[in-house]
Amino acid sequence: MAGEAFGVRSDGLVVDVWSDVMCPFCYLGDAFLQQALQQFPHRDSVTVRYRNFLLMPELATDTAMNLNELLATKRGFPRDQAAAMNAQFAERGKPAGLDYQMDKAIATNTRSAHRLSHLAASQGRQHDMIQRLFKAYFTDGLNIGDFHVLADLAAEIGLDHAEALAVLESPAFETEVDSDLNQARGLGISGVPFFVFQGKYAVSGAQPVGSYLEVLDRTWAELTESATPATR
Amino acid sequence: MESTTAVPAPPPLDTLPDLQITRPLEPPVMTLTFLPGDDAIGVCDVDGTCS
Repeated sequence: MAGEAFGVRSDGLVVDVWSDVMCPFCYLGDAFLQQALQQFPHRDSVTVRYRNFLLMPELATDTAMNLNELLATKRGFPRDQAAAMNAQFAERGKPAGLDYQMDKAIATNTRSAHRLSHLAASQGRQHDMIQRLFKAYFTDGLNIGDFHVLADLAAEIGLDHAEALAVLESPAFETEVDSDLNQARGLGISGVPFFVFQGKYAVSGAQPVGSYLEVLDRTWAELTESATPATR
Repeated sequence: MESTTAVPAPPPLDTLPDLQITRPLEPPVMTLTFLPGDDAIGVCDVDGTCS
């Protein structure tokens, strides 16, 4: 059984996820999607592809600032509201096993982190890389714009440190990042996470586990129906 | 009678730009069906707000 999503043929069901490493709902949404997949009987036939989205593309690549500081100084976001939001995510993350410590988060341009996710994808490790990047940003307070930090994270999930550093110091995977961003614009995506099942069904925002399961079931039913030869 | 319209000479070969290897064109924009929509826990928008 083969399906097609965004012009790429694939065996089984394809879920494309547009997200940004610095997006707290993307971290939560990914955790819930993974829980849904654990409950989905055909999970071995599902491929999840992580596509790039930049929530703050204007951030410089060579600077890093505490997230709360950035929200307060650049966006006029009151500090007490930022603190309340952080506390809210800390509570929301617990049931999903996520340890949000957003007061430690360092806001930086995430484009290089996205390029690294493409390197990981080329070696079949994209989800491991995405998860490690989320944790680095939301829990560990690491600067995910720093090439050496990123290469260390890549090595932690089993990629070659020197290769990761070489990729980061080159323009490698810039085209892939641009392609994802262009496709997001083409689809009218203005917020993330944004999930597209089999290039057909869209789910905007983090959703409860049951919602993802519902869409997985529906998409799978249509996929298997279309793959079944017609009988006389 | 021969035309006298000037035809620009082609540029010397050594000034031609390198061939560009381009990626395939993006597939056409697809119409997505939104599901389910009502239970969204939250989303982060391009303006940097999460709600």
